[in-house]
Formats: sequence, C-alpha cells, structure tokens
Amino acid sequence: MAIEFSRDITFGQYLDLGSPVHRRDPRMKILAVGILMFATIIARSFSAVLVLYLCAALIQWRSTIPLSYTLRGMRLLVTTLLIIFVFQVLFFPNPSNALWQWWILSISWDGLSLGILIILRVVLLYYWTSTLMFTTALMDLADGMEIMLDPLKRLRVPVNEVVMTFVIALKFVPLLVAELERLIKARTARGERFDKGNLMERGRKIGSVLVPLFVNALARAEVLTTAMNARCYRGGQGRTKRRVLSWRTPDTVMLLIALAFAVLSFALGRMALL
Amino acid sequence: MAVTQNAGSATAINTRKIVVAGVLGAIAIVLGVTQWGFIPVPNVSGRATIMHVPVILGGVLEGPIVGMLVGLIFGVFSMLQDTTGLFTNPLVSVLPRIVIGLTSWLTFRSLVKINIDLAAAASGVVGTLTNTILVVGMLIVLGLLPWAAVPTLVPQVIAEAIIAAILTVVVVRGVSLVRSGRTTASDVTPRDKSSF
Repeated sequence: MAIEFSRDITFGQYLDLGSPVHRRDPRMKILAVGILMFATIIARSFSAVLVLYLCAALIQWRSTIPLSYTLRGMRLLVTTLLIIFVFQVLFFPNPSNALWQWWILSISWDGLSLGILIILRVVLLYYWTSTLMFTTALMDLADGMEIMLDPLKRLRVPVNEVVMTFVIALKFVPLLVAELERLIKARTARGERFDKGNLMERGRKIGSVLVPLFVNALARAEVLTTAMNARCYRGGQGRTKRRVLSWRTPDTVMLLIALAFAVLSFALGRMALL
Repeated sequence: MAVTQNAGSATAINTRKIVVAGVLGAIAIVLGVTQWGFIPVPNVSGRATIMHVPVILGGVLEGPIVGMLVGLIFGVFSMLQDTTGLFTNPLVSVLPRIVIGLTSWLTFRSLVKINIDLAAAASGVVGTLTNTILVVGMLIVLGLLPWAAVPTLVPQVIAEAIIAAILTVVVVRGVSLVRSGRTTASDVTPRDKSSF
C-alpha cells in the first residue's frame, strides 16, 4: 500500500507559469473544459478520442506545464484503470471474435478495444480537470464559477457560499493529504498493518487514522471560521471584487478552437458509427 | 457538552457551516485521490468505498446544511474523477450524494435521545444505503445498469455499511470527546452516563 502520497497528489494544485493558457479568462477555460469533457463523454470511437488527444497535446504545449508533472498525478489512477480494463475485457457480453472463452468470461478483440477506449477516455477526462486547475488560480476559478452560476441566485441558491465551500475544500486537500500521510506513517511505525485483517478489524484500523484526521480538520475549521468572521465575511451579499475579470479576443479565439476540436471529434465519431 | 448540533437554526447558513463543509469535503476528496478510501471487495467494482463517510459525519455532527454541502462536493468530485463512465451524469453522481447528508442527519437526530452510539451506527448504515440505493437506482432508471448486476453489489453494500457504521461511531465518539474538553474517558462513570 502506498504511503508516500504527497509527492504524487497534484490534484487541485496551481502552477504559476504565466503561459498563454494561464493568462486566459477563467470563464473561458471553464466553458472550454465543459465542452471538451462533454465531447470526451460522447466520444465512442478511436478517431474521435484521438482528435481530443490532439487538442490536449496543443493545450499541454501552450501551457508549458512539464508533461512529467501532469503524468505524476495519474500515477495513483493506474491500479484503478487496470481493474476497470480487466473487468471490461473479461465481462464483455457476447463477443463475436473471441480469442479465449470460459463460462461468461472471455477475451476478445471487441473487449480489448473497448477496454483501451475506456482507459483513453478516463485519462482524458482526468486531464481536462487537472489542467484547468494547474493553469487557473483558485480565486480566479471561484470568481469565474460565481459569475457563471449567477442565474441560480434568482432561485435563491446561495451561489457565493457554495463556491466558497468548494474553494475551502480544494485549499484543504494538499494540507489534509500531508496530514493523512503523517497519521498513517505514525500508525505504521507502531506496527499497524492496514492491508491485513477482516472487515471489522480493518474498519477499526481505518478509524484509528480517521478520528485524528477529523478532529484536527474540525479544529482547523474553527480557526478559519474565527479568522473569516474577524474579517467580516458574511457571504456574497454586497461583496466586491479586487480583480475584475475581462474577456478579450484571445479568449474567444481559444474557446472557438476548443469548440472546433469538439465538433470535429463528434463528426468523426458519427462517421465511424455509420 | 453533548454532541453539538451547532448554534443557530439547523437550516440557516453561516460562516462556520461553510468552513466545516469545505473541510469535510476536502477529506472526502483526499480519501478519493489517495485511493485510501477504498477497501478491496470481491465483486464487479472490486472495492468498497468509505468516501461517503465524511458526508454522513457532516450530517451527523453539523446538521443537514453541512451534510448536503459535503455531499455536493463529494458528488461533483466523483463526477469529475469518474473512471467507469457511469457517473458522468449528475443525476447519478451528485443528487444521491446530497441526499446522504439529509438522511443520515434525520437518522441521527431521531435516535440520539436513545443512545448516541446507536444513533451514529444507524446513520452510518442509513447513509451508506442511501448512497447505494439511490446511485444504483438512478443507474437502473437511466438504463445504464441491468437488474441482473444488482446481486453482485450485495457484498459491497454490506461491507460498506459495516465499515461506515464503525467509522461513524468511532469518529463521533472521538470528536465529541475532544469537544467535551476531556482528553481521556472517565474510569468511574458508565459510558451511557458520561457527557459524550
């Protein structure tokens, strides 16, 4: 079991590289990621997925984020991906060109290609969200989200409060990852084996880590609440922004490029199906 | 001090609730990204999750608003980090998770007068069942999962319910112990009589 998390957890980190992608308006980036994610979800053929990978490569190049950094965050996904792949291949229903078959299990070209396609799509979905967070500062992301969710305020949804909750959650992730690692190491050093034991024992062992994790996290929450109250935070009403977002021509251009890739992928997917 | 349903009305939103919900949501995300929130179980998905436990605890410790906000964070996270292709629909990934916070809070509140451990264990089980039944139900309604797959999920649900019940009890005990200001349990008074 992995204990060294904090090196590999890149989720929600912001890399201040000042690249052309970093400088774009967060609203544009959220929209573009939304479009590309939707295109990824509906992509059902290799050509469609490949087009989206080209788009990802373009973004990767322009954002100047080291590829090794992007891949590092996916390291923890590998086991999950392998499990999904194995199940997709073995349980593929009614394969026409089976290489090996036993009871309901089989290995077939259909199953293999579907498995690979699913993995490619999962990696891509992961890429869009992580790159959005690598290239956009959290406060910009929050401001962008708040503006885009503005219509919900008419339905009396507390948009600012909900966005603030998300911001706090993302800010706390690296902190709590380090804390979890520390707690697990402390237990391991005292001879605890987290990968052993039946369900009850495991529950108890996990509990021995989760209790201090929750207690410490809630203590931090109290401190942050005091700090925010001391600075007179009282939700979104009448709150002004220090930085005003401005939509420029390059934003429109970039959004159109993303849209073009998505449409091309959709069109290729349709052609492959026909 | 007993376990606090915190000051102010249960449904009003305030700074404290925002922060606590954010922090508990962060724990759910951390359990997900470190893959620490998964326990291997022999079935299709191959693992039981404890990622919904922070949502249950949000509902139990801080009331429905926090529970629902944590559920929202957990739901959005599982939608964005979807590895199966089934959770890309927010009706599957987000909505059921918001309800977890509500049902576990209701369970805890209705049973806490009888016994706090019982209430915590029950809300762990109810929260887990809310998660599974609503998510699987949604998948079946939307035609993404066949009825035939349901029996294969049973061992996973049982494992998740047991672990969630244990974890909810120990964390509620731990948190209320710390909040009560004591650092050790009393040697003389029986558990039921103690303040936590």
